[in-house]
Amino acid sequence: MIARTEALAGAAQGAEPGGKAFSAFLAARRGQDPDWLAEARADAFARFSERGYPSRRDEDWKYTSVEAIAATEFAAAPRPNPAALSPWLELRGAGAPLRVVLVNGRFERALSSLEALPAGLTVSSLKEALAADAEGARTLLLASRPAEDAFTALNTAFCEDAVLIRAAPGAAVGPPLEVLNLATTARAPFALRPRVALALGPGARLTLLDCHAGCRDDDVYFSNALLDADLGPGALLEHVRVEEEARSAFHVSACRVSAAAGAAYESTFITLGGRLARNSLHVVLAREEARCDLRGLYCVAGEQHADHHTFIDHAAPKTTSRERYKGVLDGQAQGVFCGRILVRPGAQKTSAEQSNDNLLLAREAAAHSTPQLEIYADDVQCRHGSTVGQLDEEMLYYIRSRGIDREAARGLLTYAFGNEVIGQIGFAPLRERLSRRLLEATGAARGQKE
Amino acid sequence: MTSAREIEHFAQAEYKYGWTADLEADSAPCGLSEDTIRFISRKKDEPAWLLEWRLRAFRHWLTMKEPTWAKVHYPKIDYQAISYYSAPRSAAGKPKSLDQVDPKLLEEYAKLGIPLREQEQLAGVAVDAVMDSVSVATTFKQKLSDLGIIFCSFSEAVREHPDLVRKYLGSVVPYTDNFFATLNCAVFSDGSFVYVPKGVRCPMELSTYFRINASNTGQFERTLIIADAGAYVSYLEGCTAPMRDENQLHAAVVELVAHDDARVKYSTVQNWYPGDENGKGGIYNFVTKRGKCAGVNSHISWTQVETGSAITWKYPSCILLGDNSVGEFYSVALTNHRMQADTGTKMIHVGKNTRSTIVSKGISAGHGQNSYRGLVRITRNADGARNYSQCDSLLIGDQCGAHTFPYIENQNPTARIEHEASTSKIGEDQIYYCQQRGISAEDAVSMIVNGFCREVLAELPMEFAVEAQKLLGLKLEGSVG
Repeated sequence: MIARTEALAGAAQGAEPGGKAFSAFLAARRGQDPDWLAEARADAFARFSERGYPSRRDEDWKYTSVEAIAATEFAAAPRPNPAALSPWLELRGAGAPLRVVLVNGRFERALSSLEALPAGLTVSSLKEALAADAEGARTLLLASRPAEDAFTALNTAFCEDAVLIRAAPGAAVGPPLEVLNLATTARAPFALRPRVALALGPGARLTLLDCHAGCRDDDVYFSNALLDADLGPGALLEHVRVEEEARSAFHVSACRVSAAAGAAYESTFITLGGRLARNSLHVVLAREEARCDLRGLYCVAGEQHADHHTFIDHAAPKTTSRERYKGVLDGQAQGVFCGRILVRPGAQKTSAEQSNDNLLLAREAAAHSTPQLEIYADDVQCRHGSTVGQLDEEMLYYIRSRGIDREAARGLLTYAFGNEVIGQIGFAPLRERLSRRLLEATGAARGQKE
Repeated sequence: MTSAREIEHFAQAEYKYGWTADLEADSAPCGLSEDTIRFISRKKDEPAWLLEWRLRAFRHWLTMKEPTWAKVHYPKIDYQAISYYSAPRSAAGKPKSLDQVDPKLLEEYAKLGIPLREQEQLAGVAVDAVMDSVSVATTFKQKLSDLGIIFCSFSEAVREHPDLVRKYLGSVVPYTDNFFATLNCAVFSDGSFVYVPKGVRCPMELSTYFRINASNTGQFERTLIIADAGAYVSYLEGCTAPMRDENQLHAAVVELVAHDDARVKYSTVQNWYPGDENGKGGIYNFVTKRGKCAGVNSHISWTQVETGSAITWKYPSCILLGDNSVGEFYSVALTNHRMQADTGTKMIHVGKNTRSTIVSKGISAGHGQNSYRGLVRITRNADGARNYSQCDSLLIGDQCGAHTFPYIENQNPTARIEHEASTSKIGEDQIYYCQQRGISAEDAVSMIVNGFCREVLAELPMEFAVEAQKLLGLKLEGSVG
C-alpha cells in the first residue's frame, strides 16, 4: 500500500497535500493505525488526489472559492502545552459541565471534564476506542456515507484523532455534552482535522454543543472538520454548532446525519468567525417518521465569507423537515446559502419547509441564496422561501421616534433579527454568551461604518 | 444510443405518418461544416457581413460543449446527422388531404375546435387555393406599414433593412452566448423581424400566423423585435393547435430590445409534438430568449404556456439596464407522459429602481419531469431594485417530478428580493367536492388546474387565454382516475 501512495506522489500539485506528505503521515501513524484504517486513509487520499480541491466551476462551489486554501501550504498542527490553554477554554467554550476538549484536532483528556459521565454515555478518543473495541470503532468511523467530497476525503486521510461518542439504547442524557475544538496560535499556517463520530441507540437522547474556536484573530489555520451521526429509531440529537474561528482562519466542515424511524435531528448552526467558512450539512431521513429541524445564523462582516450548504434527503414516507437560516452581512462580507431538499420516489406524506432570510447592512456586502426543491412524489407538502433585503425604514422610524438614534436603532433591529436563532439554544450559558456577542457585533458593525 | 441508431431515430421521425421527406435539389446534405453555412447563406442571398457573422459563430461553436446541467435526459444528438437547410417543400411532398393525416392529431384539432381550413394548414396539407388568411394578412400589412412598423420575415429584413438588422442582431444574445444559441447563429433558417418606430403603438397583436410564408421558418428560428422610444408592441408566437414538425431538434433564438419608455409583450403558446405515451419521438426544444430593457422606464413581459415538446429547455430572460425598467415572466409549463421541461427565467438588474416579477406554475403528470430554474441577480449599482418570485408546482400522480432551482444573487443592500415556492398535489377532497356537485373527476382536474394557472393565463391576450385553458384540460386527459 505504501507503494501505491508513492505512485500518487507526482499527482498532486501546488500546495495541495502531496503523496510525499501522505506517505510521511502514514509512516508516522504506523503502530497506531490498524490495517483497515491505513487502507481507508489511502483510499481517501487517492480520491482526493484524483479530484483535487473543487473549483468554482463545480456547481456546489459556484459562489465559494477555495483557491486561498489550495494556495497555502499548511504544516502539521503544533502541540502546545495544554496547561497554557486554560484561559482560552473558558473564553471560547460553552461552559457545559461535560466537556471534551480537542486541541488542534487532538483529544486532550487532561483538559476535558468527563469524570461524571451519565450512565449509558461513552466518550473516547481514537486511541482509546481502538484499544477497547476496534471493530466497533471501525463501524462507527467508516460506515458508508453519502456526500464524500475532497474535504471529507482529506479529513479521513489525515485526521490524527477522533472523538467517538455512543449513547446506549434508551439513554436520556440530561446535561449537554460539549465538544470544544480549539485551534492554537502558531508561527506558520497549519491544518487541523477534528472528527466526531456519534451513534445514538434506539430512543437515546443527547444534546451536543459542538464549538469551534481559535485564539487570536490573526491566526492562520485551516480547520477541516467532520462530524458523522447515526440516530437509531426514536433517538433525538440536539446539535448546537458554534463556529468562532479566528478571523484569518479557514473553516471547511461537513456534518452527515442519518436518522432512522421516528428519530429526530435538531440543529442550530451559528457561524461568526473565519475568513472563509463553509459548512455542509447532509441529513438523510432514512426511515418513516424521521424528522429534522435545522436552524442557522451566519453573521459576518469585513472580508468574511460564510457558506452554508444543506441537503435534506427525504428517503422514506412520512418524513418531516423544517429549515430556517438567517444571514446578517456587513462590510464586504459574502453570504451563501444553498439548501437542497430531495423527496425520493415513494416518500409520500413528506412535509418540508425551508426559508432563508438575508439582511444586507453594507454597500459592498453580497448574499447568494439558492433554495432548491427536487420532488419525485406527489402526496407531499413542500415550500421554500428566500428573501434578501435591508432593515425596514418604517421600523427604524418607529424606534427613532422614541428618541433612539438611527445607528442604535439599526443595531437593535439587526440584533433582534439574528437573536431569533440564538434564542433557540436551550443551554442558557451558551445562549447568553452568544447573545452578548451578537449585541457587540451589531454595535461593532456600527462603529466600522462611522 | 449508438450513432447509427440515432440516425435511424431521426430518420423515423421524418418519415412518420407516411410523409415523404423527399427533398428537392435545394437542400443541403446532412452535416455541419463551413461549406454548409456558406451554402445556406448563398441560398438566402445574404450579404457578406452576415455570412462572416455566421462563420464566426460556427467557429466558436466548435469550441463549445453541449451543456449538461439542465435536468433533462435525452440521447446524444448527432449534429452531423441533421440537414441544416431545406427549401420550402413543394406540394408534392405533403399530405394531399386531411385523410392522410394522423387521426389522433385530427381528434385533437376537433377538440380544440379549430376550423377545417386551419387544420389543413397546421397539418401541412398542401393547399392550392389562396388562403383567406393571406388576404387578411395583406390588409394588416398595409395598415402596419402606414404606421411605419416593419413586420416581415427575417430574410426579408436582411434584404430590405440591413442597417437595422446589423445594428441589433446579436446585441442581446451574442453569437458566443451558449451552445444552442451559437448553433442557431451559425445556421439560422428564418424567423420574424419587427421594428416599431418612436412613439408608435402597434394597433394589433402581431403573430406569425398573419405573416405570409410563416409556416416554414424551419428548425432554427430567429426572431428580433425592436421597440423604439415610447413604442408598444405585443407579439404572439405559436398557437394552441398541436404542431407537427419533421425536425426533431429546434434551437431558436429570440431577441427583444426596448428603448426608453417602450414596452414589449411577448406571448408564447407552445404545443409541439411531445412524443407518444412512452416518450418515443417528440421535439427537442432548446430555446434562447432574452430581452434587453435598454432605455429608462422600458418594460418587457414574457408570458409562456408550454404544453408540448419532449424536451423544453428555455429561459426567457430580461436584462434590466435602463433605470426604472420592468421585467416580467409569467409561465405555465405542463409535462405529461415522458415529457421533460427545464424552464425559468433570468432577471439581471443593472439599472436603478428596476423591478421584476416572476410567476411560474409547473404541472407534472404521468412520468413528466418539470423544473423551474431561475436567476435573480442584483448588481452593485442597481439601487432600489425589487424582485418578487413565486413558483408553484402541482403534482398529479406518483411517478412524476417537480423541481425548483432558484438562484438569488444580491450585491446591493437597498434591493429587496422575495422568493416563494410550494409544491403540492390536487387534494382528494377538492375533487370529491366537485364530483359531489356532478362534475366529473376529469373536469374537476381541468378546473383546478386552470385555477392554479389563472395568474399566468390572465396575462395572455384574451382569445389566446381561452384556447390555452382548453388546451391545459385536454393535455391532462386520462391522467386522473
